[in-house]
Amino acid sequence: MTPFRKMITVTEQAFVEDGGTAEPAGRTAVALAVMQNPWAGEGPGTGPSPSTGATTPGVAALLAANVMAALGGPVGAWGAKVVIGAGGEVEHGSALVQVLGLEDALREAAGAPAQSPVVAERSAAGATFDIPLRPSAGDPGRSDDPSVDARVADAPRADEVVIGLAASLLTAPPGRHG
Amino acid sequence: MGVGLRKLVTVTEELSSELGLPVQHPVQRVAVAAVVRNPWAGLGYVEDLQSGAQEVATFLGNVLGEALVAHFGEPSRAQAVGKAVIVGVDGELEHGPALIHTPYFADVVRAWLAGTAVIPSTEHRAGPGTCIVVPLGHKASFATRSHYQGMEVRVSDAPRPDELVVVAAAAAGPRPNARVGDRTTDPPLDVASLMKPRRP
Repeated sequence: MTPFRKMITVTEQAFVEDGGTAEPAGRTAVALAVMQNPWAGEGPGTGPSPSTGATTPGVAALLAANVMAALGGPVGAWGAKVVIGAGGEVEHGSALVQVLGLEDALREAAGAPAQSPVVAERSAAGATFDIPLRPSAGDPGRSDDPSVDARVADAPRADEVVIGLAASLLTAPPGRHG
Repeated sequence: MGVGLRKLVTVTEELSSELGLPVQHPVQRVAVAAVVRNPWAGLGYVEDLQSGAQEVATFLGNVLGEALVAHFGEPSRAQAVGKAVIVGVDGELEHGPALIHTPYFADVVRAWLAGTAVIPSTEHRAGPGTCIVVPLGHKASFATRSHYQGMEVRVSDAPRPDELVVVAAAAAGPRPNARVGDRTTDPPLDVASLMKPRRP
């Protein structure tokens, strides 16, 4: 069994915003992994054990490496999302975040020790979902950041999860609301 | 006035298993979408779409072709190629083909990827966030059945009404576990014998 079915990255580079020049250019990267939900079909009450995460070693590090490679620069803001297929519980998402070491992986790759937003939702294949972004410790100047959205046409299946890591470049166009 | 490039979106996809089993060859695909101002936005009906196309089409052919090659490292790693355009809702559908069905765009993309065959395409008019499936075909031998495949691309905030989303995509190989043979492996066929009118 491969640890994941599919890996996707989406990189968005902005050049102009509403006629002005986004200087320096904003850049946002999203890395997505489609993998089996290790607890799908077990029903409620069967507590996900941390050891189950050992079935998918390296996924978090791979996601972090992919998002950093796609971003190509220092992280200004970041966030993560777990989308659980219909046969799983939202709780499985929270458990996966822990056992996969998602936060640690990105923190290690990005040198971004700030508190991270990691959220979970249950949804269907092809649904569009948001990944929230929050400023990293390297960027104390901003209080918020736009979220990014993502979509995988054929995932998550009922027994799968989609794990997304997103980051934006430190040099993204600054906010102007003070 | 310039080309009016607002953003570039790059999507990469690597598929490593099907139905729980590893695929024979991991499938790698990449698509690059450029969001540009529609050069004919606000002009009403324009009869001659050729003279206004060259600058934007050449620019896009180079940006997208170079980005695809950069992803694969060298042109030889890209085996299948495709293109697509979404015209923002205030444009004329013909504005999309006026850019991507020109030598300035298609020949330039083909040259970047060292291809020789026709590049399959699709054309659409739609609002921001519309998904488009880019059709891909073998870059040198279009009838190669194993390489027909689609790659989905979406830009959440484009095209605005006066914009175009122009996409080029490439794949490093055939579909996952492609096994439907080819014309050379098809049994001999008498097509006329298969044509049966439903209402005699």
